[in-house]
Amino acid sequence: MYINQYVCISPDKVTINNESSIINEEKSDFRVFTKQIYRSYALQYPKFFKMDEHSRLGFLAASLLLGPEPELENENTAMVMMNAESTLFTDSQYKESISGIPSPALFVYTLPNIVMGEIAIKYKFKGENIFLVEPAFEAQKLYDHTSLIFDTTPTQSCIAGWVNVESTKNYLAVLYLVERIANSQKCITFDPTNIEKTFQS
Amino acid sequence: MAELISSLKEQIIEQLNLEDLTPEDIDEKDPLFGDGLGLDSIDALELIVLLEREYGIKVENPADGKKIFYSIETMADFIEKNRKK
Repeated sequence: MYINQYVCISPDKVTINNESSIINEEKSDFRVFTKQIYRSYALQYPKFFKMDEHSRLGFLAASLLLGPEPELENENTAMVMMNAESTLFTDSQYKESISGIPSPALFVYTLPNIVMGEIAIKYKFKGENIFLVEPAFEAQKLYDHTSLIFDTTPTQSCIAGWVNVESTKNYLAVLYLVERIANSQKCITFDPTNIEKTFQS
Repeated sequence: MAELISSLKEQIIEQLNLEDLTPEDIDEKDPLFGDGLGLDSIDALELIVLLEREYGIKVENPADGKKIFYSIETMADFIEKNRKK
């Protein structure tokens, strides 16, 4: 299996296959920077603006990873994601809203796997999915879960990686597209060492 | 009524994070759900919260929601008749 493409979004920049795409030169905060990325890539998905930070980040990374018209089998595209913070950032905002009238729009984002739901709705993916919450990034565990899905289901493609929001100043998404077939010259073998490399990009 | 409709548009844009829209983009007679603004069930809950927070109105009977939240105009009409603040 191969990692055919990978995307990284941090507070400083966006990289695609380790090449800089957008630099956050003005050190804009999360909402401004993610909106800048959304506009730069001419994404057309108004629901993006309703998402919490965690889903915004993962959704953006997936959108950049897949491009406007991904040629993937909807039924056989899986997702395996991981983070350390779960949705604590959103949970805190929701907790604050409880003192007044709780916000239903915030409440629906108080689970880490919702980001995969947002991506699945947008791209109509119906494959396997799992979201792992671990103390830190674990390439081996991402590799093991992804491999298991490829080994035991008809999965042809898998969007996998790390989507973590600690605060609006400290966040990171690293998503990569794993496929059974290499489809670009820039592809790299899918193994724990290369997963680690995408994380370091 | 015109003033209420205008502020309602702004409140809805802010509350529902409709960042791509301006008040001028919204026709008060257009349906809020379905083919109109395309709002969803979570947005409906947020509208109920908005009525309570901004106008002190509690929607007691969920069945009334369909009529109240049909459009900005029907919402404004309901608010004018029932507002407590």
